[in-house]
Amino acid sequence: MSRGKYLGEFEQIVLLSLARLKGEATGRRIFDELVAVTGREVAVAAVYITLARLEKKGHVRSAPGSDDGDGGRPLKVFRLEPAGAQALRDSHNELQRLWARARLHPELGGK
Amino acid sequence: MRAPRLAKLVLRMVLSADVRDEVIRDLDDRHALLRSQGPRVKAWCWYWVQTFRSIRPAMSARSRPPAPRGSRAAGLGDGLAQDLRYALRQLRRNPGMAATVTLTLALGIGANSAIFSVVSGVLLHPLPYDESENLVYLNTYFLPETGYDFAEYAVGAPEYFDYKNQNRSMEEVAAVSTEPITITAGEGDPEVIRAGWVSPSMFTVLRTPPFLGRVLVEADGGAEPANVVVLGYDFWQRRFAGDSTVVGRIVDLGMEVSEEPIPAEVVGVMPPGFHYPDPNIQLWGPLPLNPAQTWRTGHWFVMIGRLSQGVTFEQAESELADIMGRWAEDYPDHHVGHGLFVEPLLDRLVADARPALLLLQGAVGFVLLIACANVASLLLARGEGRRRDVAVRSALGAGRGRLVRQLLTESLMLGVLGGGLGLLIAWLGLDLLVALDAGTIPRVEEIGLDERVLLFTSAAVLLSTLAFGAWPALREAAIDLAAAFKESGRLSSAGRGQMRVRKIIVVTEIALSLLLVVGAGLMVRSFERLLAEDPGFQTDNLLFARFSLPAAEYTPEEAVVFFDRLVERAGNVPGVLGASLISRPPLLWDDQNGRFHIEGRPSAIEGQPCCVASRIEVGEGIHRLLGVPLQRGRLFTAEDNRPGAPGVAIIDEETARQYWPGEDAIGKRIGHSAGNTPNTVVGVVGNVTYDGPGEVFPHIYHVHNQGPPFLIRSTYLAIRSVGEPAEMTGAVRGIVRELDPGQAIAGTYTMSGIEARAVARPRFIMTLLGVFASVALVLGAVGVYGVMAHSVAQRVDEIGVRRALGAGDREVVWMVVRQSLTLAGIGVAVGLVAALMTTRVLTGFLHEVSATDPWTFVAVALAVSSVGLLASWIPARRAGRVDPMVALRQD
Repeated sequence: MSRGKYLGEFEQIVLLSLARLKGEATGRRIFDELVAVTGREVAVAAVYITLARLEKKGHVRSAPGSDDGDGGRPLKVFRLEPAGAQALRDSHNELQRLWARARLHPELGGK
Repeated sequence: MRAPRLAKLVLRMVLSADVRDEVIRDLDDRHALLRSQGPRVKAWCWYWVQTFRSIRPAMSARSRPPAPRGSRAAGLGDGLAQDLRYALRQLRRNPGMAATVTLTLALGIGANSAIFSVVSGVLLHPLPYDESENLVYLNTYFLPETGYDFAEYAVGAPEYFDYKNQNRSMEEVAAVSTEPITITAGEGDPEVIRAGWVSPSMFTVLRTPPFLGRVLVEADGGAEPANVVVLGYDFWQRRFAGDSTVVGRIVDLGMEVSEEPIPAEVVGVMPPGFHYPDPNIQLWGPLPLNPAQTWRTGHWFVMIGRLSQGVTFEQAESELADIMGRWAEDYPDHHVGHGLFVEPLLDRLVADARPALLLLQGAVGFVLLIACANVASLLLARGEGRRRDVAVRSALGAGRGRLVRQLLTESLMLGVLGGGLGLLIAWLGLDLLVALDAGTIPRVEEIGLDERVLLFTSAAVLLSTLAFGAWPALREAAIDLAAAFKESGRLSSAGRGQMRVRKIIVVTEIALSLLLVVGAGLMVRSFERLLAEDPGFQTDNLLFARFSLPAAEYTPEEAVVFFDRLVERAGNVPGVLGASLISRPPLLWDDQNGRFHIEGRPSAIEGQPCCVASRIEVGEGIHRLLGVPLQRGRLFTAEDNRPGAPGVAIIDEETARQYWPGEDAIGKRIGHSAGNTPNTVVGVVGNVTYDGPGEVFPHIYHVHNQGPPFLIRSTYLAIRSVGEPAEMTGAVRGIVRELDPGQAIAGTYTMSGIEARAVARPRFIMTLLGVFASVALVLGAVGVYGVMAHSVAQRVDEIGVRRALGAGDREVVWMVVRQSLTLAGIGVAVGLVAALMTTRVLTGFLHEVSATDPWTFVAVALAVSSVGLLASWIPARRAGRVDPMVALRQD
């Protein structure tokens, strides 16, 4: 796996949050989901910046969603792209592969 | 509490455009929700915490390597942090160069900012009045056809009322004059202050409300104005300790022109900083203005006005021209060649200083240009040493645009450093500048480092960064990879091209500094001439003390007695060589007004005096005291002082030359106004330059006692002392206290102080141009040195070969010196041509020196060439010491 395709931890968390929301959500819902699940204190901006980066990499795609009713411009809705899903799986597999070796270590469940 | 604005601003700055709006909108919504749920402070804190937490991800997103080449997705902000880091590293790696560049720029930018602060404060700042751009100044002129030639003269009441009634351009006009007044009320000794004697409309025109009480109102004015005054803030603080019960109090005003004591009621106090018409004004009273007055020859005040809404200055000016046309028809004996003119009030105040300030701003701009040229040259030289570095980065995929941007970032960092240090220099220099000026710059209180100056400095930083950084950056980034890796770093073809550019830069620098040095040289020569002017009297150890006796306390006869005693006692003080009276000390102010007529000669206008000369009332022995030589006839004697003695006058050579050419003026009779008995000319004395160094104007001396009453009460005691004249002030004060404890000296002046002030402006310009020229010369020398040193370093092996082939020390040194002399020669030649074309702008500032004075040009050309020669001396010596073995082994 090339380095460019490797997902950072926060990128994975954002993508996973998006996936939990059935692969389609606004930035604020992703943020809420992320905070709810991880309990982390996260900057709102960090989520959006990460989403923007993921979009550049082709992992998510954004489109103007339907009007949210407060009269402002419609919020962006992010969709998980197949490439994004693939990257998530790759990252997961990669980690599992690494974990498999690491389990040999006594403190990580090795025999 | 709304979402914190500052936090939002920070977010806007750090976030890139693709997420900015969405993030801020999200934060705002959450903030609103939090605010509705809990304490507002909590929401506020949450917003700030979010903002701070955003900075890191935002910055790291920006400094991430740009998107794949060719995609425009990467914004300008991307890579900025990287560029900045790289630039910092480069500067740290070469601190000597960074320091040199920063200092050079700081000098250039600092000098510019300092001068610009003055220009901005004096010329650009609006006056401290509401909608001050609508304020105008009106005064009268006399064209030569009237027999008088006054570019400017005061206004009279009929002119004031006619214009007030006939014009449609002005919302309001006002009459303004000043009077010295003796004040005894309040704390401290009696003192003579300057008062504004004005029409109440002045306060309407200037739209300044009072600080306490009220301003003068229409009902206060008129032919017999009310006895009311408004105090200036400083005067109120000083004299009445800021007591607010002063409003309603009665104060006695001692005035020269009024025979009666004037008890006046204080009706108000003006706010701090209100001084119109001049900074010394301490109080205002209503000027008597009689609408019924018809005689049009009395002129004693100036006018100001406020343009009506929507009326332009040009419209007002053309309407005035129409009105003047009508006046000329209605009053052919008075208003042909005489009438009102109008100009913007700000222009009026600063017109005098404008040319000098613009000249200095122009000159200091050249200094910055030279500084930029120097820095560009340095950066080019550095680029030479970094070719491999750039080549590596280029080979690794950095595009040309990316490289140029990075190099410009480095230049900008240098520019910002230089600008910051420059501001510090400007800040420190400003006080020095104002002190150096010695009070000839108007509106000094407006001068300071304000936003406008900061804006100017930022613009200077940006422009100079482009000026010194763009060319080197483009050169450096336009790299031929193959050549860069192949070549040894010396003697490269690109290096030679670089060298040519640097030589052109150096020639430009020399030319520019020559221009400045010529300017400074001309000013120095002019100043020498100015100081060498014969003032017509002996200037050493003279003291003048001004007196202005209130008419309410002194009849003219009593004033004569007071001054007789004063002169007598002052003359007896140990250390005093002599004492007398004079109504106008030389050089203290310029006043080329005053008219007289000659008995038996036709007048230019019926009933009006024909001739122009300033009149001066003097005591007996003043000419001997001042050392003014008697040419013909006699001086004033004690006999002339006797009451009822026949009227006499002494004229100066210039008056004799102008009005009695080839004739003896002694015995001729002259008068100053139609009704008075004429005076007989009894003597001719040498010229004294009353109006300024080198300014010859006709003057007529009259006996002090024979003058009109208000001139008798107001005069100067002149003393020549053995030692320092200022030390006599105490003795004079003591005498005054003995003669009349209620009187005050209105001011004392030493001749040396007056002289210094008289030449303050030329000295100011000369000193500053001198400083600029010196800085330019030093920078030019550094430039020559840098290029020659670099050239010698580049040619080390060539020199080695030459030496190996038998060239001696001298030949090698000469080779280098010749090269630098060629550069200096071309620079000097270009500079001389440029100077010949531009020094014309100095004409107005030069005294008895031509703007193309050949001696100055030759001397400066030689001096600049010598500096060029000196600057190449060290590199030449180094070349002379090159060891052929070492040089050749280097490869």
